[in-house]
Amino acid sequence: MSSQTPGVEAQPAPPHLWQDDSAAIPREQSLKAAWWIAVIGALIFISAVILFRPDPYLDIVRFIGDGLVVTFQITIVSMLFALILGLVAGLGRTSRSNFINTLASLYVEVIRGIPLLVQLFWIYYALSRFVRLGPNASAVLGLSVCYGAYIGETFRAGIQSIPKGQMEAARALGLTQGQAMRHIIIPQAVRIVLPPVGNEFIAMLKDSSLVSVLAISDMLRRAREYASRTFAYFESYTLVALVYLLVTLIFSRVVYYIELGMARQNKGQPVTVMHRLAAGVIDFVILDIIGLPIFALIGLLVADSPTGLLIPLVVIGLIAAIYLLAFWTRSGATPGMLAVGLRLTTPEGAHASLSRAIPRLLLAMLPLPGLALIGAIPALGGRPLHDRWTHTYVIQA
Amino acid sequence: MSVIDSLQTHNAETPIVKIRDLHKRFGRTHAVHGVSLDVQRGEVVVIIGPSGSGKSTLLRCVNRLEVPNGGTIHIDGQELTNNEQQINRIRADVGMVFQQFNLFPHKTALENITMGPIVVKGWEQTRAHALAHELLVKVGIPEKADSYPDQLSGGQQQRVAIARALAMQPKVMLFDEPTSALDPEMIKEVLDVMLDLAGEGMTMLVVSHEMGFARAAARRIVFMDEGQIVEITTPEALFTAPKHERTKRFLSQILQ
Repeated sequence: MSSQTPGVEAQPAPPHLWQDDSAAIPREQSLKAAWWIAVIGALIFISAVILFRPDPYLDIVRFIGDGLVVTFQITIVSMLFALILGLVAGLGRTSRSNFINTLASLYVEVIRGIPLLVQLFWIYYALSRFVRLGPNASAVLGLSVCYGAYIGETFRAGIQSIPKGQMEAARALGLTQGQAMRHIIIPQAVRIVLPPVGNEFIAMLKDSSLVSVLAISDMLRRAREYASRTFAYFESYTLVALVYLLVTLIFSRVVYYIELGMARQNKGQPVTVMHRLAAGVIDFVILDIIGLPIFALIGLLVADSPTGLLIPLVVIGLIAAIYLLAFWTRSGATPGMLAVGLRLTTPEGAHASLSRAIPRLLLAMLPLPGLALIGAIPALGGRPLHDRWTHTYVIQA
Repeated sequence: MSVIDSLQTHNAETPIVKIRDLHKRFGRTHAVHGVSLDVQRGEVVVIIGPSGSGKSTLLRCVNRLEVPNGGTIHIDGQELTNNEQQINRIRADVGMVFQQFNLFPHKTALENITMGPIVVKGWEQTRAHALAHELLVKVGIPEKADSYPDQLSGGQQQRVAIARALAMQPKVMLFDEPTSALDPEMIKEVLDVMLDLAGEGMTMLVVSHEMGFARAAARRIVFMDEGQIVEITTPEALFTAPKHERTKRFLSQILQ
């Protein structure tokens, strides 16, 4: 906050004092260069091997493709539960009640002290003596309980990083503790917490490969299945590694833009295509966080009913409505744009009208019906999405 | 509340702030040690004293940001108790301005000001906006309504903070070293706003070492040291003939 260094008039932030020194070690620059080299390198390699050696690479891509969808499904559903658990744990850890605080701390300490792989084994194999959980439920439970503890610590740090004076100023106005949390503390904490939570999401995406030990057909498992039948170990695992790398790189870039958006110094700087793309990726993830679990659930409930197609359409409409509402109440920003600090304005600087949100919404939602369709059309080599949760594909002889 | 008490509430002679034998300890330090003080309606009282003398703690007890260990405080006839709802009600009547401004950085100047009326009093947005614009004119920065705190200078931030406190239409305003965090050239703009307020008859309890302000606006000056009130006097008497040795020493230090 600028309260420590009030300037005479509102003016752009002065350059950092250590700017000259940092020129000697071009961290930022090399990081950017490394990112581009890695992304382009991975893309070139993948396209080259598919083009010039379609056997076995094209085969592998087809085979592990739906594994990637499963990886995303597991990650996104687990993330949703981890965020809820994390919020409860984080608020618990900042609670003044001794009992609640100890309880939350116990959860965090115990879970962080056990490796995720061991937790997954324990939930799937050991717990089965009492409750028999399916592989998907075990995977989601393991990932969300584990990451809930880490995210809880992130939330706690975020809440505690808000200066004490903020709460005092709110209480001095007559706000209750709850009102102060809702209007003053949480909105500020979210801005601080968003980049680390984004990093947790990336970490979870990578760690979700561990669930392949529970016989879930995620990307790694699919590659193993392919390799064990064709002995193309090198090709399968190389491709899996590169796909993970590509996905991780894209999301880490998104987190970088979230950080950029949270730091307020770059106000007024030109908005790059990358910046807008980052907002789009977040919108996609947010829409899927809401959309995919609902799709999966509906798939389970109305698997063979003729109205099966109608209900997802209604759900899409509902999600769209929620999304547009977010744009409208946030006066010119979708949740993704908000996260990277973008806002859509008219040339006069006024907030953009609601109609500008619709193309953005359609763009962000494009993958959603797309994914559902790919899953629904057997001719494309797929099965309905809900099938993917329980079925393992085998290569035909 | 008896009939007589309720009558007294509306009596103009009832002090708006009535502090009796207030004690506050932090661990082993006795920050406030048996302070009694009345502030009358429309009165400006300036509290001075060396750092650590308990003047800020005293102020923070008045709207219960600190919970005292002993003694009583009445605001406009109502005693401050541990009742959470009652405290919130009284806090709405007591405006506070902090040394570090404590503006909400994620809200614009206007939103900072409308926060109290909208959330606490349940006002409609249009009504709160109208009031906020009025207050921004009063503190001299109507053009900064849509600026965020980090786009404002320290003096402007503090003026928004004053407007934010005024938006609750308080019966008394507390100022906790409002100019101490400001660059010298910005102190005057904040003091001018405070002088205007004093001129309009706002009841003010001010912790500050701005002697110019004290001389111009204060009816009484309270000198505190080691958690106790050493003397209460008028500005003229303080500068011409301070009674106590400690007061003299302190004045010679800050006036040199």
